[in-house]
Amino acid sequence: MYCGQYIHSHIAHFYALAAPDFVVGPHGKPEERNILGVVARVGVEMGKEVIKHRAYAQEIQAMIGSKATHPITGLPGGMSKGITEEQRQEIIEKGKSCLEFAKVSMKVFEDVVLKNKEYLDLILSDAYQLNTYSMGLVDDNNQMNFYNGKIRIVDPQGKEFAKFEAKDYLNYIEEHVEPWSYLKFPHLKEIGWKGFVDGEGSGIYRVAPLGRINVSEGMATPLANEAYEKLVHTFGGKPIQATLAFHWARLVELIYAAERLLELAGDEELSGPNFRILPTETPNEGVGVVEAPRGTLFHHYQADERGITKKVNLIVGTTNNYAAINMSVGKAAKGLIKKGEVNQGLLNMVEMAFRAYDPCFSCATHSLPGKPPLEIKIYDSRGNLQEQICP
Amino acid sequence: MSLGRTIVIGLGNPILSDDGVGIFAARALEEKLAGEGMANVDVVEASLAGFNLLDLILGYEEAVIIDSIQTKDGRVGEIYCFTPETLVHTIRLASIHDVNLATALEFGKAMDMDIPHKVTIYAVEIADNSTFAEGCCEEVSAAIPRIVEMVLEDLRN
Repeated sequence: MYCGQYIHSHIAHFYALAAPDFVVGPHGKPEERNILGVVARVGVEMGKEVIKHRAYAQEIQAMIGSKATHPITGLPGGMSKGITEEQRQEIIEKGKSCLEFAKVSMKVFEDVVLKNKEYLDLILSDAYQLNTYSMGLVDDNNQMNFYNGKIRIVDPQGKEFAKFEAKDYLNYIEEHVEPWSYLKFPHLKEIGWKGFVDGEGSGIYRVAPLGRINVSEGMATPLANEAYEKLVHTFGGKPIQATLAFHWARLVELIYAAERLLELAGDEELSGPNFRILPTETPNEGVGVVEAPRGTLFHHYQADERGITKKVNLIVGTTNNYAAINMSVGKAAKGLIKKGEVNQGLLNMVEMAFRAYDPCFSCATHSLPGKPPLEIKIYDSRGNLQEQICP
Repeated sequence: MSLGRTIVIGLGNPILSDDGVGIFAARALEEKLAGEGMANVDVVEASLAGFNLLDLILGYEEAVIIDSIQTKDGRVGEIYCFTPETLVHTIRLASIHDVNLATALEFGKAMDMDIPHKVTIYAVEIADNSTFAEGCCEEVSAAIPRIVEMVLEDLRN
């Protein structure tokens, strides 16, 4: 189910959000720089493949989770229902098709982006670089894993900085608060918050596809590992600090998710009757961590003697990347906008720095009672207040 | 499951004050439909957008969407009726990781997908969609029976 989530999430991001920047082009008209513009250029048949495989992945999720979005079968100790042998076979067939499509998607990226010198130069340009720590979940071999293993952090040179179990996360991560935002800024506790600066002396780190690639010593499946090697080789080693390489890393993960889905679906036990082990104790505290498509996701719960939750702490994928997202946007704007000349193309290129992270602010933002404490003031060049907006 | 001819989707978040108006209207409509003998109408509640919403309407001949809206200087409780053509100039990303309804529908058409030949969007002007509460304000609540009657009238025709 989780691999299915990765497959449709990464397909949607690449084709609906990332591809317009490259296929239509960063300077393309805004009304064409969308998935319709992409389809107009790559053809309806490719568009149909996109929608078909996104749907396959959702159907796999729905088979296991009863609903594709917001699955409802998860329970303490397992699942509320299993899957039939027919469903397992269907998952295998759809998984095979998704793997082929993942390979095609990587080929599209290579043809459209990597063979275009202008795009390659853009990816490598200083405006899109950020020299940060990286974080992600790895297995015993330090290979990428989406929901099992230890959290690994590497420094801006690629050297292991820390490796720890989820339950110890508060020893390694703390959160900084700025008055102008109601998202927090997680950073490495040992180094501390040094402001919006990158480098080894700053505790800012990055997660999600590029962060995961940087902390991993290879992928646990063969085709994904080949794609990983090519990515790392192209950049001359790790860590890769080019923000736009998030798109490439996402496609490596798309291949991995499809391969891993097939590995898991190949286990006949999946359609067996043992889908839940009833918990026998009332837990009082637990920390869980998974790699969500948008980054490392921490859930920390404390409960009373009845098992009723008393305290919750969540650090979600986008929150981990929040400081880096702000810096990437700022750096792209400073690097690309010269002499005050701004046009749609340049603004879009600044947005590209933001879009690469595939951020989800509705997940990352938590505020009670929920009203944004936001006030926008627009001043003219002489400092006179022109407009005040209170959303 | 066999599909009815028409799907009515109530959109929103039922624990976010007026944002739940689409959901509450769908529930009220379902009760009314039971007495109308319209077996070919499926009423669903959803908190979805973009491609996920597209998935929901595939295979139906007609779709009716009930949602909330906030417009500049809008009168709370007012009901608007749109077609996808009204929204065509909004084709863009709805968020940084999803497309909006107009884009999803256009994409569906371009892909020759089995999308409804008629899509009607009812929207209620709301006051508050950011306070956690189960239920709408007085003006929005008062709009629910009216919107139910409007949708019923559509369905009867």
